Amino acid sequence: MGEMNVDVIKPATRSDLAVIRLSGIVDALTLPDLEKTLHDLMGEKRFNIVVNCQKLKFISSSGMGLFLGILGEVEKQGGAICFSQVLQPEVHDAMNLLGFFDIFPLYNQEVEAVQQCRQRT
Amino acid sequence: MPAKDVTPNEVTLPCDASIFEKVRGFVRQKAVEAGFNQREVGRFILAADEACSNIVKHAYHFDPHHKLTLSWHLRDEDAMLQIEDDSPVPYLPSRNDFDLPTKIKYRHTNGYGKYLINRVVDDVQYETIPGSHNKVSLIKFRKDQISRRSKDPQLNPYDIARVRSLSLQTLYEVGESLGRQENPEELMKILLYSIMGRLTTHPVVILAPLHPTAPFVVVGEVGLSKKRDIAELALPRHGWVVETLWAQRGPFLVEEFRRLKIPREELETLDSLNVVLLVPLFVLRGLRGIVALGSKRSGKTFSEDDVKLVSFLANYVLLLKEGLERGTSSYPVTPGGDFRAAVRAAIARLGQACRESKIEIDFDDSRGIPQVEMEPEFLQKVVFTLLTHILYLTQEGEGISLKLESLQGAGSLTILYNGTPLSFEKGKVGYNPLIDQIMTGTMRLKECRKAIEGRGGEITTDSKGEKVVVTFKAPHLKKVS
Repeated sequence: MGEMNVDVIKPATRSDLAVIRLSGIVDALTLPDLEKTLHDLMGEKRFNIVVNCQKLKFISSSGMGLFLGILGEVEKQGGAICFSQVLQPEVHDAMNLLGFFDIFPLYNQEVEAVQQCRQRT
Repeated sequence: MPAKDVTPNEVTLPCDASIFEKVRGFVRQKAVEAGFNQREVGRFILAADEACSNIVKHAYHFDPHHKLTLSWHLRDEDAMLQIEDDSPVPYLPSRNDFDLPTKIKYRHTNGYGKYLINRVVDDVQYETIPGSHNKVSLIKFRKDQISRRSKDPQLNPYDIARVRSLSLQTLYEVGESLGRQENPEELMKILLYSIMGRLTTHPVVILAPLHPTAPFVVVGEVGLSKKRDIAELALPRHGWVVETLWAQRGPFLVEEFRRLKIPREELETLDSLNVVLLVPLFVLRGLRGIVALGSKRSGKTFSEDDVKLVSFLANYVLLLKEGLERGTSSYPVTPGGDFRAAVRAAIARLGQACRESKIEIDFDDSRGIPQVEMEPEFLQKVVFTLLTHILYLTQEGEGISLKLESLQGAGSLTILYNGTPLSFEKGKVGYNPLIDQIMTGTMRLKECRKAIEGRGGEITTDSKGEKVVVTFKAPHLKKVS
């Protein structure tokens, strides 16, 4: 089956932020794992989330819907979600079709996203 | 040339944990074999994944005892993926009432799949036999046919069968290609096809199918911007659609005509026109355009009033466009024949309306250049006039009533169609944000009344002045089944 891996990095310098490095496939089957990861981060009050998509090969609408839903939750807590390195053309295209990049800031580098990822007033 | 098929054209897959990967693999293989480019392959895969996910998740609840059958059909002009299931649950991917901005705004998590499917393939068809099976067909036109089409000298906008075979995506790409080749005649033709094609093939653009003798219908904004976007604002239960096509900020078709130096006479003599464009600008923000089309082929001849309206709207367009770009507006009006008289009449009417509304307007007929200072209320009146006229045109017999619960801060819009109320309430699926914007903005009763009465409509209010019913009669239009 299509696999998804989620590596979570929690920088020591920012207790409000986490980086998740997504790889593989986000579809209807792998979605629950991603959902759990994101909710766990919110449970830890890490409301600023950087999503590194460098190795993400596919994302379905359910995956994108999850990020939108989570965004709604983190925004209430003053947080934000930023994306970096959406390199796979198919992934970029799918996200673009939903207007993802009008909502989520997109950065070329993870480090840049980490620096910028906070809710804008 | 597409490569020869090397894999089976049909697979039956159990709905187990591997199904989505197998679906994507099957579609990828077949789409690559068919000669689609990387982006289109990716989009085909996305559509297939979304359709299958919906069935497996909502109809089968991930029960591995069920199966899906995928079949691939490579035809001359397109490729079709059919997905068959035996679920009793209907799946309607062709529904087109999706309001993406609202979904995004409220951070909804669900419902994007159907939207994506309709965005990434050229056609979605659905068949169901209750209690037996469902079949979803995802169709994409083949790239290698596009270039052949574009060179086809027989392409005729009234060749409905031909038009039906063209998609907006295809047309857009053909148009782009032709634009690069500096072939303006062909480009214009293609643009016209795209409009006609949309009218005749898109299930929700219903004004023409509902009433083919209507002198013009509303299609949407047509542009050539690379940043194309299809944003549909629909009243889907009734089928009314006002949509913007392709361009959020693209140039209007009329500008393309001008740029391509198509003789003005050809544009302005209605008798010679196959298509009458044009384009009152829409709500202030976003400047959506509307293209009004008229077709001689429809069998409807233009009445004097129709001519007036078109010219009226055409002038509005030109005035509004420049006005909105520059803060003020001026546009030379140099039409010929009857159209000239109609334009003059329209301008006079416009001037009268503006004077009554105390809107500053200065027509300098000696130069044929009207100067208009734009004001928001003025624009809203235009929009309202247009909308009401659309309704007027496309109904028959008793006409249609617009029932506005209140004009300021209205939360709902009710349309009475043959006496049956069709309500569109804020926040519910199918609610048209455009209508909301118009009705709840700064639209005032005074402007509404003038706009309505100016179009031969009637407006009545109840004793408290809280409810308003607007009625337009269209007795000259015949019923179309």
